[in-house]
Amino acid sequence: MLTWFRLTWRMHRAELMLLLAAAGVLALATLWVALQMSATRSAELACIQEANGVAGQVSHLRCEDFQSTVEILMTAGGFLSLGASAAPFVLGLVLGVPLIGGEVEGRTASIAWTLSRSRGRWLWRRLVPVVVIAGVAVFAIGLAGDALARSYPAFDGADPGFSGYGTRGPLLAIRAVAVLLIGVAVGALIGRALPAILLSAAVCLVVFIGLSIVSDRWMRAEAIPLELGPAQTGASQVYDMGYRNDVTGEIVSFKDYYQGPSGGPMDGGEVPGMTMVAYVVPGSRYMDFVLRESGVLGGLALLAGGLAFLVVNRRRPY
Amino acid sequence: MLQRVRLSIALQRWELLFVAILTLSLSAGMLWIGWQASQLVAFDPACFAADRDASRCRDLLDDLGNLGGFAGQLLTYTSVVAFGSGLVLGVPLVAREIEHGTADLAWSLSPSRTGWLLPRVATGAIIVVALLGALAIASEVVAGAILPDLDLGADFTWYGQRGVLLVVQALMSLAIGLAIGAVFGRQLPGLLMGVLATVGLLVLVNIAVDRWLMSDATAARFSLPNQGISFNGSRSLGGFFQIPSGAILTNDELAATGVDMSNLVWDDERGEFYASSADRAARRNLIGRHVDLLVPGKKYGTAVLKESLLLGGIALTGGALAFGVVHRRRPY
Repeated sequence: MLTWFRLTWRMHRAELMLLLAAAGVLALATLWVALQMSATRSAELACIQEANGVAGQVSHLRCEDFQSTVEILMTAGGFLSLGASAAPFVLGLVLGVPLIGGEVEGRTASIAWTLSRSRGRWLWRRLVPVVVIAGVAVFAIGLAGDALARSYPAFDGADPGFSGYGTRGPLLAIRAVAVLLIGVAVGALIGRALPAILLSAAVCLVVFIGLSIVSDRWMRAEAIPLELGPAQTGASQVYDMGYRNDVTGEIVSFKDYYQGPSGGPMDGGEVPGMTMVAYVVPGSRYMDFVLRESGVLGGLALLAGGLAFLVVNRRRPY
Repeated sequence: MLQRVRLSIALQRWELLFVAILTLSLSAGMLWIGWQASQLVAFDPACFAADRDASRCRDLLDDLGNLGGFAGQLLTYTSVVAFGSGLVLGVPLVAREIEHGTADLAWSLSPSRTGWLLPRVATGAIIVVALLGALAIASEVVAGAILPDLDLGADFTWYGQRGVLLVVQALMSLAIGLAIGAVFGRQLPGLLMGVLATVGLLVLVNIAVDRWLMSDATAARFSLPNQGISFNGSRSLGGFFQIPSGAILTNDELAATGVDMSNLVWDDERGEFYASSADRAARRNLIGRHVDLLVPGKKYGTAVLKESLLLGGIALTGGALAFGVVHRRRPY
């Protein structure tokens, strides 16, 4: 097994060095920002408590330094999250596509395939190390992203729910593996690295846009009306808002609520007996949706992997 | 000559096809939105001028707002497409030949390495100018259709995402990709390094353009209306402090004057700060006020010219570096 990894390292040294260094820097920087954020928030809360006697009240002027530090850290966290969301695609495509595409393009496939007992065995030995490396590297970024999301002032260590969806957690590693296998399959079909990267990127774009549309529909279908207070806790995914009749339980849309009986807009103010509600998917259901997406991506990855094996077994090595 | 151009196109047909599909479909999407928007405006032009507040215009304005949202999304991709197209076409020009071991033969068959590279680069540059030119025109059309009451030649809205800058951005990344591909001699690592280098250079160019535009900027306070400059359509160079003498200082420069920054008392409404609450209440001993440095929209053309000069300079340097490397490096 170690020989497989050694061979992978030799063949993709430049790409691996660049990508692993970038992934390491991204993960460490994210973790550092998360730790700094937690420490600064603790100091800020202590300062406010000391200044006002009660934590969570209006901050005293001398505590504002902490706020500006938190804002800077949040901005940095935003950029790092952007990097985290891109990482599965960059690592997956750059490591996946040349696996077969590079060999065919470089005309080394014919020798490699002849020397191996079977083409499937050859691909398996090449595939495993790359999947492990990409998966572990992106998983590390995902873990750091989890720590970052929890450190934000809105959560202070609590469950961040849907906040930062797609920028944290094991989902990133699943995405990386799926993208990598799509890249391997497209690389095998096209047989040239750069065009295959472009085509794989386009395929991934279509797949992930489709997935986000499906996921959005699932969430909308399962959104429940909650009063604004409970709806805002646990980083829920908010879809729509309206007013609930406290007696009948009937929910009317904002538009209907603000149109008086005469059809004109009401003069503002609350109508007694009506409570503002939001249609939300509670943050506690985050893992359900991660599992669903992982299931879809896992299926796609298996299909793409199967296609890659099929193509390698049948195609000409040039 | 025509044969060399044909050969260049044949060697890069996949990348060219991809870039052409991407740029032309994006252009078509923007032109379609622009056409939809112009139809809306033509339906009742008064709704987009004097009658903006009329109730009959609400739906029309909502529809235009929705189209504006789509247009804004497409315009955010234009710059990425410009830089991406340049890199995708630039990196493999030399790197592929070296990676495949064909540079040795190609360079020895050509009278000179420069003579080998020049037609390839020229072909790539002409194609980039043609495709990104189409995208630049489409982006201006859609922006003009979505914002019919604005003179976009004197407005920073969607700056860098529309117009001639897209072509210059693509030419710059083409040259950077070419140079990095020639240095690395491998396509994928070259592409990765090209992305990193382009992002780094963009940050630097942005800082340099901001500095260069300082002399064109006017200090404005968000809290005060009617200062002769609007925040809309201007380019903000960031927040600064203006002391009573009129001098504009950064945070560090103000601290260097001896002001104790940690104990300042702010007047949030007026954006002013004092040494104590008593001073603030009496509005005396003003230490300074927060101002934004704004480059007015009428300087849009100047900003585009300055940024184009910087990007063009980088492109020329990158191109010269690529020719230098090709001239001297080993072909493997």
